[in-house]
Amino acid sequence: MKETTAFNDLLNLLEVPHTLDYANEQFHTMPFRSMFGFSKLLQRYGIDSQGVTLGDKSEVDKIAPPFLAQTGKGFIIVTAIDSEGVNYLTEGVLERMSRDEFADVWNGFVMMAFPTRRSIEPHYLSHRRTEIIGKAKQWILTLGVVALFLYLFISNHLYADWSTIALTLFNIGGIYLTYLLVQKSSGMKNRTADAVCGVLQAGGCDSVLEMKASKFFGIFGWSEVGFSYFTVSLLTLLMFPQWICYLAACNVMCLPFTFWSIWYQKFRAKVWCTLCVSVQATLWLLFFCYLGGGWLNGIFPLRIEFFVLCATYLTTLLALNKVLPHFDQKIKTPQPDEDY
Amino acid sequence: MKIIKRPELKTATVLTPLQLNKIHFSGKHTKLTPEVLGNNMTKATPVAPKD
Repeated sequence: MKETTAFNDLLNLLEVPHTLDYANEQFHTMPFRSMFGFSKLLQRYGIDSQGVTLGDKSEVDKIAPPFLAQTGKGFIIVTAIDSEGVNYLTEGVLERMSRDEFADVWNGFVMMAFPTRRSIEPHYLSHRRTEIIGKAKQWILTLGVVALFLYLFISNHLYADWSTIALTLFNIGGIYLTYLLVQKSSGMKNRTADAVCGVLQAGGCDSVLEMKASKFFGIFGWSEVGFSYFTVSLLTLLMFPQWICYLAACNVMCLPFTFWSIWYQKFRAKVWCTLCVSVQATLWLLFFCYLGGGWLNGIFPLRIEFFVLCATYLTTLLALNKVLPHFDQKIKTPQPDEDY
Repeated sequence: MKIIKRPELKTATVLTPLQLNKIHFSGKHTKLTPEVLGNNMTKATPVAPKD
């Protein structure tokens, strides 16, 4: 699910025609990250606004939702208010609290918006066209990947053996887990990653990923190493299943790392990273699949294909390492000052 | 779109652009559930209008 902002949520509630990406971009890049900036942004959409502080909080019943209300922890968008309670949106999620709770946490400030029939996003039609084309491209890309995957899986008879089916599934799982880790390392917000990370220990992933040990020789993040490993392993399995014994050999070479990772989390970091532990578990599950399928038997003698495979792992890692800084939110987005 | 009527508020103080500019957005993405809001009863100080 794409990220939403207070601006996008308000536009949805006001039923003003807009596109998610442009509205979010405008919100994130507004020159004044304040209520003044917000009012200027609304003005660009043809929406008049007014920020007031109520001396008598009971007058809030006269204000027709939706409107922004300020609390000690941030802004909420009030969507409905009655004698029993207040419905509001926070980070795109609908919540409800009692009138007493609302009166306690709200400081009296509201930002009201007054759209007209002419309120609309600037260049809306052009953005909408871009949005539709973007969605279509995403669908076609997804279908293409699925089709190619099925073609390779079937034409190379990977369905014929339980071990190759399991290897395919575990590699896909490994890609997903390391993808979440890469996102976390880069500071990209991902709700699924946050939910998974909270399983073993809340905040564990963030703590471990901020440590020096999360980088291989201080250059490559272990998350990047893992993502490269699982991606190349899956693609090799699908396209060159005759090299599966070399995949098994590379997997065995990775196993000592799992002991180090668990030892480090337990005795040095003293905090558990759920995603990291899940990746270690996946490596071991892959090992048992290779073992059970008899794929460790044909490793020797090592042929040039083994070294080609190793070079592929390394090249993919280097490419990922080069590309990832462009997505690093920690570098791009300076943390704003705390205001509450 | 939704038509919002301007309310008649007797005790409202309209904030100037300068006062509005002092009310900032934080960069956090915390969901402000009733529990989160209730755990910290700190209220943001409303911007006092200049006399």
